[in-house]
Amino acid sequence: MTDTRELLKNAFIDAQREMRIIEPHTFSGEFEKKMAFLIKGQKGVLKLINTVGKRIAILVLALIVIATSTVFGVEAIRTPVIKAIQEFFVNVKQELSGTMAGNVAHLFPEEVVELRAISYTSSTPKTQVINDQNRIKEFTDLLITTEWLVPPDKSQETERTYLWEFCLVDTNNKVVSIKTCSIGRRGIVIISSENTEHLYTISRDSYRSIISFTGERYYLHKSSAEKPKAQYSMSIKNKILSGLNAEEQDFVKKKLWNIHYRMENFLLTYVTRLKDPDSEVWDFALYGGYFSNESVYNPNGFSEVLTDINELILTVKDKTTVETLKKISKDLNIAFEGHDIGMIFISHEYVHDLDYFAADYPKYCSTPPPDWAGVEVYFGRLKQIYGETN
Amino acid sequence: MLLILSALPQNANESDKNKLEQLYVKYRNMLFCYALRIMKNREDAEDVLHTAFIKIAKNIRNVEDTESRETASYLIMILKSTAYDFIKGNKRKEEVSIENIGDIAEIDKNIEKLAQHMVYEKIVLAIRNIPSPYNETLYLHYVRDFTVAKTAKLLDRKVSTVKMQLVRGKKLLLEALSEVQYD
Repeated sequence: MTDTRELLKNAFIDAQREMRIIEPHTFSGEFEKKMAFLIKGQKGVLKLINTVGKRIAILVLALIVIATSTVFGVEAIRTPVIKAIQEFFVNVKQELSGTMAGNVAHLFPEEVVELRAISYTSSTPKTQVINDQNRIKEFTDLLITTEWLVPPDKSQETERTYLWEFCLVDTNNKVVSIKTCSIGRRGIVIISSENTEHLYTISRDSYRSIISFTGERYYLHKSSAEKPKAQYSMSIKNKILSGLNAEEQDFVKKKLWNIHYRMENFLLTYVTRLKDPDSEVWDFALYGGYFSNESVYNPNGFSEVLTDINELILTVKDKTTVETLKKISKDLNIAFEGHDIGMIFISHEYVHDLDYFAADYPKYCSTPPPDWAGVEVYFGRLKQIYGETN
Repeated sequence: MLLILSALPQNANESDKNKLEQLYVKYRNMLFCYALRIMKNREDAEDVLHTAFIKIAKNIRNVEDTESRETASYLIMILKSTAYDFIKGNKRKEEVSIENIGDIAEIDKNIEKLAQHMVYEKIVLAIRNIPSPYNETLYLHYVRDFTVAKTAKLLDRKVSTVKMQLVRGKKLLLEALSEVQYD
């Protein structure tokens, strides 16, 4: 280093220290607590070097560094190894403290290195193991944004069948388990570790977010398509109802509404179970039955919807609409055969647009639909079917 | 295999393990005073201090001697950078374009030329006049010889931002040195 460079270096060091008088300060309890967690966590980071799994990972990493670096000394090996260690656990307890989920923070571990997501929706449980700290942090963020309420009557909840479980594993292999299922419009959760169990209810939205964590999330009414102009909707409506007398027109409008209603109900009720193609519920979804895993009874199944679509096909005279209805029916049959819930969602979009923005336009819902939020949503399917017609 | 095992920082980790705690105990009051001076209230100052220590913890390997004056100034630099981020709320405009690199060599030359003939205290005074975030970027450049990427990681900024701050910072340093030179 040149003399001037050394001079500037020292000047920068000395320039930082402007204050001569340092007054002692009494830190708040909250601050001391946060710092205690941070310092303890920093110490805990290095505990992992003593666990067999991580030691092997470190050795492998060190070997890779040695194999690839041309010049290495202790630092060249040490630095990437330490870097790999430094952010490898999530302090779930600390993350939850001081947030909306603060009342459950004490139940969770501090040094979480693994998340196991277990689904019991099929005949054999399916487990997904997550070691990626970023993903574990994402899951923790879900817990943070969940409001955990103690249910007034705990007795009725103990007999429920919990279909999803999330196990947080810490550096000592201690497991905290979160089991959940739905009840009405809320989720029920049991947080358990060793010999303790704590029961909470959470919102439906939080419940859905948590159980969707390892899989795809489906939205019934998510679209940014611009709603069609009234003139366009009326023109499509005239097309669909063309050639029909008043009674037949009424029949078509009501039938389409029923199909739409039952599809939405079906999807809202069964999506969490049917996301898994191996779910036992698929065996009963089409023709109905009693689901042995839980007290859910689907008397008629989805087959009634297919029957209604066939009735429409026989009634409607417009060729384009008939072809569209045939396509919807065919896609739904394929969906049930292949256990593809995504395809059912897409078929719903066609039915939804035909109902709200065409055949029964303008739609005024005299009976409450399964999802009020969907009344204003347009999926853009009409233009795909009918084009830019006048 | 023995080389690998000896290279694994087991012993070094023992000292690293306690380093954060040592730094906290030794410097917390000092750092709090700086934080309070910048943030003007105790609650924000504690928040800044906590966030700064998180940054220090994540980059604990950058601290070698917990007692040295260089470590103290390094911690103050982190604190100031963190306070700056708090104040700006991470909404500062992302600046992508940087000045002509050719200018930088000239600026570096002029900085060295000036600094060589100046009284040390005036150089320190000039550096104190350089505002955040440029001051911290220059600190890491001159004191630690950090690369742009390493600086970006430590200060939680984009590489392009750090590049720009380094260039602008050097220009500000040159201006500051010129101003105090004849005071």
